[in-house]
Order: sequence, then structure tokens, then C-alpha cells
Amino acid sequence: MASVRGVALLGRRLGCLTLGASPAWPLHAPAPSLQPALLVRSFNIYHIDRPKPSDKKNFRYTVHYPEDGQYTVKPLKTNKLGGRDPETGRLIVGTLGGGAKRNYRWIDWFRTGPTDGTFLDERVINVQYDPNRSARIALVATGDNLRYLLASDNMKKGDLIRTSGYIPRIPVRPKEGDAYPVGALPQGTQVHCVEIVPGDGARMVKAAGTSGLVMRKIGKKVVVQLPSKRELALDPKCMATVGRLSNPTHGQQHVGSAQRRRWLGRRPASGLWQRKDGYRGRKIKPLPPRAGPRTKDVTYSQFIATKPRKKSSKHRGVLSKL
Amino acid sequence: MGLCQAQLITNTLTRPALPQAVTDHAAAAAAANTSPDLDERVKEAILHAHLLDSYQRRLPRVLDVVNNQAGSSRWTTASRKTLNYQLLLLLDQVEGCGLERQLVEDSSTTLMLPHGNRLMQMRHDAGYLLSSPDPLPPMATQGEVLAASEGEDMPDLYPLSPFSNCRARDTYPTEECYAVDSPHLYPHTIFMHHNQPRMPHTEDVFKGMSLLYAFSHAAAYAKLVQKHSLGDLDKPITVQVVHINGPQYHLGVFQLNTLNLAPSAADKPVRNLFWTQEWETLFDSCKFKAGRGVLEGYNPKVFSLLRGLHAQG
Repeated sequence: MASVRGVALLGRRLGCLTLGASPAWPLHAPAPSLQPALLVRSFNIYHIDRPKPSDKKNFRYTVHYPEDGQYTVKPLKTNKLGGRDPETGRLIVGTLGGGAKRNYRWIDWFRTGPTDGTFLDERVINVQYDPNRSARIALVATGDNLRYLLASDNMKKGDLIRTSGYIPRIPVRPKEGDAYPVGALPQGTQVHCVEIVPGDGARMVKAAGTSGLVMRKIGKKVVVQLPSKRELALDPKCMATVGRLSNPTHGQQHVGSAQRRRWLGRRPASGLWQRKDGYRGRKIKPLPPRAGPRTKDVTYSQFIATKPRKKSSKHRGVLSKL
Repeated sequence: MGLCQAQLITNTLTRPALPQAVTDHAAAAAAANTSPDLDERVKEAILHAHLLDSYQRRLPRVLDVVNNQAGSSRWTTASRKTLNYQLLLLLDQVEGCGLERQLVEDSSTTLMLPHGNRLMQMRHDAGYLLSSPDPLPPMATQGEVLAASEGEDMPDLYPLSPFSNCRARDTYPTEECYAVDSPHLYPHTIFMHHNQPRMPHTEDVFKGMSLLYAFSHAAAYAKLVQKHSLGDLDKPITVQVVHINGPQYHLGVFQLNTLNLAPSAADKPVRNLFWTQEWETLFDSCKFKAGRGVLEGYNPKVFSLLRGLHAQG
């Protein structure tokens, strides 16, 4: 056990060191990801590249896409991963696993339309359930092709939906289910399946019952508000589908039972809230008052200090006992 | 989508009932049915084919979605064909005009035809193909056909094309064949068998299938045996089709008037014609109950319609 004086001396000596911007490791050290994990625990300074749930990989299942890569409407087989990284095989999410088998319906995220002012018309053949997402999917057809899209709220069999990539000078009058570039939509339009990079496919607002909002146009960008109330400034050519997504009561439904949670592919969690795991802060508060009356019990009296303590001279506190 | 799509592919107009000749004969046969043992013989044939036949075949494993288990009874008799055969024998005895007809089992027909600027290939295997030395008479005269072609509109599937959900292929075999390659025999009736406990398709899709089968056989005969060029036919070819799924019977009569499947609006289009009616159920159930074979809900109308079809030609 070091003395107080010893600790103070060490602190003064450390204070003499200059901590520069460059790390104390030698410059030609191997990359952090290749260093052994033990080092992380000793020197928790550097970022070590480890797989995390925020990697945006799919830790639930891998889809067996057709070998020729052609889009198909047939349900595709999947292999469950149980929370493991598809490349490294490590367990990343401990609460994923089991559940009913799911066949993957390949959704077409690209609503590309003609840019010359004409429309691409599609007929909704069927609105059906998809086990892989909360919203419903719509089977639509045009010409020789069938494809799956995310179904909007009031979409039903037999509807005709349009897609256009043209941005006119006056904003279009939007109809639910149609897809337009964000720059062609008037302010206040509810949208879903929003592209972030033009031509890259829908990425935002895909959950059941959600919708984004076209807020305003600033300069050459269009501001779209996401369901989390965060705003995005998008290129006007990014496509978005008008309306809100189907199955709006999804968020209000209860899972119902622990068993149903297992059917949905979720393993038991340790509970939502762990009081003393250190992630919710240390709770420093005064101790409660001593309970019960002070009694002079024969058996207890020998442990009670009746004499007042001698006051020590300078050093008070715990360290004086040592 | 089934029947409309088949109509657009085969350039056909539909009629809601079987042709007059068939229904008249069926009604007459039913009315003059003085021998009640005919019904009994049909019932016997059904019982024999479904329950009393000793041939059994193992079915593939099928997951029963409703009960979430593999199909419990995986054995079945080859019931459709035997029943069909028995009924055909009965029909021959009763009607007596089919003595020179020839029956081919499990025939296959392949046909390639241009549809507008696309090439389509149809490959259909019929359960039974009945051919006769005399052609079936056309059910609609030339005048009626032209009037119907001009007057009635084809169904509109916009924005779908008639070949929706048909996959285009770059490589394909080009052999064509008609099942019975003989200039002396004309196609009479085509029988198609299915034995699915739960119908995966709707009635509409079933009708579309019947139409496609009838068309492919008639067109294959016209193109390959009669060596007809692609265009309007001088003498229409008539073909009958019976589509069987379990106890359900779908009957149809198809008249091929033209092999030009996508005529432009400028020419006077000539259409093919398809008479059909709704499904008829031959019986409700044919099972063992308390150790005995029991047939319930027998419908005599189906056999009389089959007689009506059989008597043509």
C-alpha cells in the first residue's frame, strides 16, 4: 500500500510528461485490429475493430439469392444465423435465435420511372403478408414483369400505381402509392421508401405505419423529415413513394407471451433494466437513517463503543488508520 | 387473370355456356334416361376407381399447412384415369358412335407459334386424347364468327401483357410434334387430370388452362398435320376439352378459326371461340365409412353433359 506522500510524488512526476497528439505507441506498430485483445483491457485508449450490432449486417438470416442473379418473385430460402456475423461466425447479438422458418420475398427497392414526362403504370395484383418485415408487401405487375413493393396504407387489389422520374416546375398532385422524385412533391406530402442517394434504392422509412414528411426546399436540396423527427437534406432526384406504410397498428400490438416472442425469433433477454450494471450511473446518495431504537442489550453492548474516540492530530479520514 | 390472359394469348372470345348442340343432346339424354341402372353403373365406376382398385401409389411428402404436419395418408389409388376410362367405356356403350375412335394415353404436344413479334412455345401433355376419323362439326358458322370478332372486345389487362409471369428464354428446343401424327384422325376430346386435394389455383386459372390445352392441340393439328400456314383457317377445327380435378369437372368446346394470334386493328380480326361453363361436381365425397365404401352427393348432370360431348362428331 503506497503512502499518501508516495502517491503525490508519482502524480507530480507524471505531470512532467508532455502528452502530445501522437500516440505513445511506436509509429510503425501493426494496425489496432491485429493487436491482441488483452491490450484493450489494459490500455483502453484505441479503437479496436470488432464486429458490433451497429455494423448494419443481417445477423438473423442469410438469403440464398438465385444463381443467375435475376430478380424473381418466388420466395427464396434462408438460413438462420442466430445472432452470428455472416462472415466471421461470431455471436454478436445474444437475443436472436430460433423462431419459425421464413422464406424471403425479394422486394424491389428501386422505383425508377421515365424522366421524359410519361408514367410507368403498374397494377396491384395482391397485398400480402411478409414474415420478414412489419409492413405488408404488394405484388405488382407491368408488362411481363412481376415484383414486390412495400404496400402503402390504402393499397388494395386492382389499384393502378404510377412511377415517374420527371421533376416539373409546378409540384405534382400526389396520389398514395405513386412514386415521384422528392423535388416534384409539394411541401407537406407524406412519403415512405425514401432514397438518400439518387438511384441507390429506398433506404429510409420502411417500417409499418411510418411516414416521412417533405418539409421545405432550400436552394438545391429538399428537406425531408424522418419518423424520428430527424431531417435530411436530399437531392431532388431521390425517389420517394407517397403515403404512409401499411399495417399502421403494428406498433400498438403486444407480443402477448414469452412463447410468441420465441416464435418471432427472439431469445430471452436478461430484462430491460438492470439496476447495478454500471450503464445507468453510480447512485451516490446518503444512507437512510438508522432503523430501530438504540438499546443497551447485554449481548450487544460489548460491541458498542461507549467511550469517545481520541481525536487524532492532523490526518483525519481513512488513511490515518493505515 | 387466368382466363383473360389465356384469351389474349390465344386470340379467343368466350361464351358463358356450352354450345347448343351439346346442351340439347345432354338434356335429351337426361330426359330419356329410362334405364336407372345407368346411374348405378356410373356410381359403381366411381366407387371402383376410388376405393376398390387394388393399385396404390405412394404420394410425395406434402406438408399440410393447416395441421402443420406431413400428409398423413400418402397412399392413393390411380383414380382419375381409371375412372375416366370406365366412364369412356360406358359412354361408348351408351352412345354407340365412338367405335372407331382411338384413345391415346399420356400424349405430348409441342407447338411454336408467333404472337405478334414474340415467339411462344406451348408444351402440353394430355391425360387422354380421343381422336376420331370424322372431324367435329364447327359449332359457329363463318358469319357468326365474323360478327362476334367485330362486335366483341377482347379483355383488357393493362398494364400487364398477355405473357405476364412467363419467363423469356434464350435457348430452347425447336422440335414440334402433335400427339397423333396421322392425317386420317382428327382431335375429338382432350382429357386433363389433376388430383390436388386443395386447389392452389382459382377457378379462373383452371379455365385458362383448359383453353390453353384445347388451343395447343387444335393449333398443333392445324399447323403440323394439316400443314396449314399461319393465318385464317378455311375450315375451322373444333376440339372438346374435359378438365378434371378430383370430383370437379370443367368442360369446354374450342373452335380454332385463325392462327394469327395478334392481329393489328387495321385488318378485320378473326377470333377463335371457346364455349365453357362453370365447374360441375360429379360427387361430394367417396370414402370408406364404417368399413364400407360410400358415395355421397352424386350429380347426374355431369354424365349427361359428357354424353352430350361424346355424341358430337
